[in-house]
Amino acid sequence: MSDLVAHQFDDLEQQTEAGTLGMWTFLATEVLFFGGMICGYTIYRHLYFPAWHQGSLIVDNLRWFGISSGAWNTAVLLTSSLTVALGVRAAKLGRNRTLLRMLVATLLLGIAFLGIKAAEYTHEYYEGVMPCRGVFHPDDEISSNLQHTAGEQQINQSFLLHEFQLFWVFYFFMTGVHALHMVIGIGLFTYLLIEARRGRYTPQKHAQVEVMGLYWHFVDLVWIFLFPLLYLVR
Amino acid sequence: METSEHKIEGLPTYLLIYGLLMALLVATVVAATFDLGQWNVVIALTIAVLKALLVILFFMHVRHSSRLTWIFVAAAFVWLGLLLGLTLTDYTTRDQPTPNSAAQIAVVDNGGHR
Repeated sequence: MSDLVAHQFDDLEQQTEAGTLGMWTFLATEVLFFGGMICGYTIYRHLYFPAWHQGSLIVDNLRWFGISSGAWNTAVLLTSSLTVALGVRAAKLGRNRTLLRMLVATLLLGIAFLGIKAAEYTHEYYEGVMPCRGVFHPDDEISSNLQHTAGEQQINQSFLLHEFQLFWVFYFFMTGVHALHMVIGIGLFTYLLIEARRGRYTPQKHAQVEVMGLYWHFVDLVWIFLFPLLYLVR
Repeated sequence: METSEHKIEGLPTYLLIYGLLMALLVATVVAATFDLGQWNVVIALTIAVLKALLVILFFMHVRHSSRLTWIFVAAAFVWLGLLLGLTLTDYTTRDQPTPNSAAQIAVVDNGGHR
């Protein structure tokens, strides 16, 4: 029992508490990190609404079975949060086989999320909306929609195009940084899977599962806000 | 170890929360198909906040966490509130820029080029 508790802690409970608090301290910085991007997004959406409206229509138009890719991805991530929660529960109860199953399920769902994201990026690349020099060539349909909007709102066409391009800068940064967090999460859960296979986690000692679970839930939390902001807000 | 034993949430709770989260996802997707003007944003973000609360309180176990953890979690969102609140107060109370005036300001900023 005393092996479980590092010498700086009074008891196991205090040690677990310190781990949770440490993770939440990191997550607080993450809240502000994503919050800054969301704040910028909100301001420009307010200033450049007509152009950004056209952008969010394109984000939302990749559909499978009539449901947008963003909604599918939200479902995938919410399901992965359930498997993480059940995995943490299994670790607490000492059910190692359930823990292993839940970790594998989480990893598969995480990879599915990135796969869907890759399909979206590919789609957007072919629409010509990646905001990079030499790549940003919105196709004819998008251009004529933008022209129409420019006429309707009496906005200079080239400004509208720049505002439209800025939407995509925000879109790719916000989703890209989120996807990077997913990749890191998949790395962490691969580590958990290897350790769980060695039987490293017991009802007394599973702080790693719990703390990395918090991280995964947080990445899900970010997507819960990115989905309506980028896909649904018209 | 008795103290941490009663903190373990039952399986039905997790499944219920998951069901609620998926129901809220369907609600937000369906609500977005109606054109409700400004209310679309309000509904979409209200649903997002509800989903976030479910995840934080139940999946992240904050419901059963110590008061100290509550303070840490609350601090994150208080600072986020300051960031969003103060910035947006500024932008929404300035002389409302129309897309055209924003464009004109951009022209001035560029010394009239482009």
